[in-house]
Amino acid sequence: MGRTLPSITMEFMQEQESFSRFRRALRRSDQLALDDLFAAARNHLAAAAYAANALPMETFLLSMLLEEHKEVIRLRTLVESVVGQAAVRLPQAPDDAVPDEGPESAS
Amino acid sequence: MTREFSGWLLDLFDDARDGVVLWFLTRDGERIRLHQPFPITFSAAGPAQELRAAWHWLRQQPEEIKLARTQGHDLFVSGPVTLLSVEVASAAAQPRLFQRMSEAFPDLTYYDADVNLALRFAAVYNTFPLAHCRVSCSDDGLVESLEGLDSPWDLDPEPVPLRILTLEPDCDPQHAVPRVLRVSYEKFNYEFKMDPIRPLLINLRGLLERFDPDILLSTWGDTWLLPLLLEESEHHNLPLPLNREPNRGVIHRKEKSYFSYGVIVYHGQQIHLYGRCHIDRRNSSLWGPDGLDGILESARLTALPMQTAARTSPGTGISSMQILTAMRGGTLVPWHKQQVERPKSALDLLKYDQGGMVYQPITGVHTNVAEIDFISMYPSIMVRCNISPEKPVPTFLGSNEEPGLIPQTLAPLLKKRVTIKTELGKMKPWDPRYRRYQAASSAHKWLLVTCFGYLGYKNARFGRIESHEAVTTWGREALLLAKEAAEDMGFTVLHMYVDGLWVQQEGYERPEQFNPLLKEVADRTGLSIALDGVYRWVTFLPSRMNSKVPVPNRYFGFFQDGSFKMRGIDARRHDMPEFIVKTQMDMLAVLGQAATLPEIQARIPQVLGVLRSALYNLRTGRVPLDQLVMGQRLSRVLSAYKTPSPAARALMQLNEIGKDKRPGQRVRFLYVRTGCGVHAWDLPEKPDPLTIDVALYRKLLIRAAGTILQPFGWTDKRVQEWLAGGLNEELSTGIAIQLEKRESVLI
Amino acid sequence: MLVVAPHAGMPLMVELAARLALNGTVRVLDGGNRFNIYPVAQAVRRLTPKLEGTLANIILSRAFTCYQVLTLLEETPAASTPTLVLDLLSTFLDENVRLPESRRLLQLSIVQLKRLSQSAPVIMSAKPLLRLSADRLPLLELLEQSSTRAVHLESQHDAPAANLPLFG
Repeated sequence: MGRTLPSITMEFMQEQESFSRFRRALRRSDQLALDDLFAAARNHLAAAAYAANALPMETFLLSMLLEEHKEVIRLRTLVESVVGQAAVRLPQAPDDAVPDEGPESAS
Repeated sequence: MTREFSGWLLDLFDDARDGVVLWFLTRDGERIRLHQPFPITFSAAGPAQELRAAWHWLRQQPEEIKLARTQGHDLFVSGPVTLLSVEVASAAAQPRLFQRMSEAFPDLTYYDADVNLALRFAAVYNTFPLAHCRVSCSDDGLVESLEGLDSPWDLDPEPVPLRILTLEPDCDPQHAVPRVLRVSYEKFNYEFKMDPIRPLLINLRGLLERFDPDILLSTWGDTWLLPLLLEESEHHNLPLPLNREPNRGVIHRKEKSYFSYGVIVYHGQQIHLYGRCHIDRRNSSLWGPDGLDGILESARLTALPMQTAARTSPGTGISSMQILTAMRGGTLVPWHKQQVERPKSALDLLKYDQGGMVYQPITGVHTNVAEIDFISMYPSIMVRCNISPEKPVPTFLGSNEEPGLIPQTLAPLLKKRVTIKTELGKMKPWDPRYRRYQAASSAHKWLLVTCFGYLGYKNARFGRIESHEAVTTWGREALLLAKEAAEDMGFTVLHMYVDGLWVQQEGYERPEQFNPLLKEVADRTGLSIALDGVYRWVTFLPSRMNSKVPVPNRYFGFFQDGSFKMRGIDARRHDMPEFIVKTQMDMLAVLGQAATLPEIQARIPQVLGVLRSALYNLRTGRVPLDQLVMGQRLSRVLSAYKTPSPAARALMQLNEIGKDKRPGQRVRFLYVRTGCGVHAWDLPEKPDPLTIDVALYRKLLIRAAGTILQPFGWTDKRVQEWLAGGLNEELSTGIAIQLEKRESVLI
Repeated sequence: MLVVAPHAGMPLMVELAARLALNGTVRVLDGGNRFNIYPVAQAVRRLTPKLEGTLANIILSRAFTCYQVLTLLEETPAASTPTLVLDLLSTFLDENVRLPESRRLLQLSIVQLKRLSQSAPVIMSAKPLLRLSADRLPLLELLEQSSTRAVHLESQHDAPAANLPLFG
């Protein structure tokens, strides 16, 4: 009803499809990593639509980067909390991964 | 001698001799037929030369007409338009005259040319079906004065003492030949054998004459019963007074299938009566649990005759309301939609050609989530921002101008909707008004939901694509403003979908705690917003294909009051067999009692138990066949299928016994292991229960179960493995946590 | 000039729109609800880094019924800007409009198209007719007869825009 342009989801699929040759020539493990990147970008389709960028791939790439960065922050926090405990104690339950008060509380 | 009475308007139609015929139900219980002259005026605009030629042509036409040169107001033209105005003395003659004129002079622009008679009458006298009126008339039934006493916006109109005759066969005619017709009127109940039909006709005629009903309420009356009765009545030469109006045949509208926005739509044939109203429960878009009340409300609001209101699309309803507003306000009603889009740059198209804002959710299970929804968002925006084809596109969430045609039409409807909804919220279910208010509320929703789409519809007389786009633009803005308000107040926005948000904050559980948020959103947007409820828990589902991809509007959950809500799952759920839907609901009911994640996980074994017993019943043939019936719509005619779908194969079986279905209709069938894999449900014999394709139903059931279990860490594969593993397998009842925002994992 | 190709020759029309937009304003009249800005943006980007400015040169109007197509053409002033008409026949194939009426409107539309082509190039595109719409074939023939040049393309990817006699 009056919609002319393809939806952002359709456009996203088109863009993903346009990289199919590139994907094909990658190793299988790399293909899966690439798929992860595209999946990550799908978290921000609404914002990409709102952005109304005539070259939406730029926004999709930025979304991928955004998700990667969030993962980096999360891992950084996780690593810091593990290193923050003097002895290397493997977390057996998730609670152990949360830092208590600081290095002194490590066993 | 003049007679005066007050009563309700039952029916209205044109008559070649009497002008307009009006049937009234008086307060004293009398059904009275009146008439009055009602000339119809339509007009044409165009180059002066052509108008002169048209004038000459009209002078030579046989119909009794008065011509005049006038001016009028076209919504889309500033300044008056010069018109050739044609007043036709006989209402019945106008349509044919107009048809001939438009063929002779196709280039003129016509106004007020093809408007339903009921609407024209309503525009002058403020009437509508079952309007309460004060009437004075002469001895020979000529109306002298007519005054409408009530308004469609009244909340509690006086109930009209209608006489309703109900007709219902003892089974679905598509399925088997009915043997008995059940007829009831008030406390009288009759059963007539369908065969032989002669006594049935005689008895029916007797009942019609004795009870003189106002409404014939049938089941399958349009598609089966009435056509059959009419045919037999002619065959046996036994006149059947279905009409109250003497000397008239009934109106017989043919069935049709047509293509609309990528989908095939099917309309069954229709039988309309004169002086009496025929409503077919199975052929009415409005027939729900609220029955007749919904239809009556729709007729009140749109001024369309009850028989039309019962069968028409909401688009026609909205259009009628717009036409009424236009005619009452002195605006001309165009025949065709002429307006084209103002040119815009490609970049602007990119910005405005979007739908509602659809946010990807944070998938997984969440507890204590509030769902807040804007109340009738698009209509409210249309009213608040004064979105109308003749008004400039709004530049902010409001307007400084006089209300345009669309807001004028919608505002009272919106007001009534909000009032009724609020009252319903306070009312107890046993209140005598409850059912009627529910029905009215459905009718309002039905109309309001369409008005936005209609604004962008290519054939809408008062539509305009820029207005349509403005509505979505401000809808997106409102949603973003709401998101900002929520985040400013410390909430996490889990999901947003066009007019609703799902928000969560640690420590916020009770409904009252969300009131400040509601107020803040209402302040920032100027639109009404309400709390739909607080979920004990809700899960947003990812894509079936890839669990890392979030999917909008796909979730299920239980509110604190125990009620359940589900969207986007098994989209064709009403086509699924009852057995599968019921099992799914039984599984969900177990989960519904839980309030926290650990409680949910603790219940999983029980849920799996429900699945296991359902599978057992299926395997041992304990599931009744009617609970395994699948439905599927036919998307095209049989010959157009390259490989026949299950529905097509079932249709072929039906064709062999002389039954047929049109594209757009649903075919029901069972999956069997023999023959072509399906057995049409409407065949006279049922299949041998041993031939049921148990494996296929098992697959469907597990898939349906998988949808419920997947958020809790159970993939289809794992379910299969558990089922194969036997009763002794232990289930690890660990705690599901959210390691990071994209997954929930069972450990 | 008329182009008849699958998908109403969109790839070709997209390329044309991009190239013409480089030089100034281009009018696009969309009769088939087909305009897609994304391939146009990509085509423009291949030709110049000035994306936004170039896209702003494309002025678009959409018509959703054949009556609207005619009104749109009537309301478009003759000017020195080139005009692309996309999928011109689409709305004329509507079953709800009888063939004689459709034909009448098309004839009037052609008059307008000729008017516009006096001042600047007008390039129209249309889809080849499906068997379903065979009764409307006369409309396509009418359109072909009134064009100065009609190009039939088998596949959407024949005849790159550079080969058309508009440039060079």
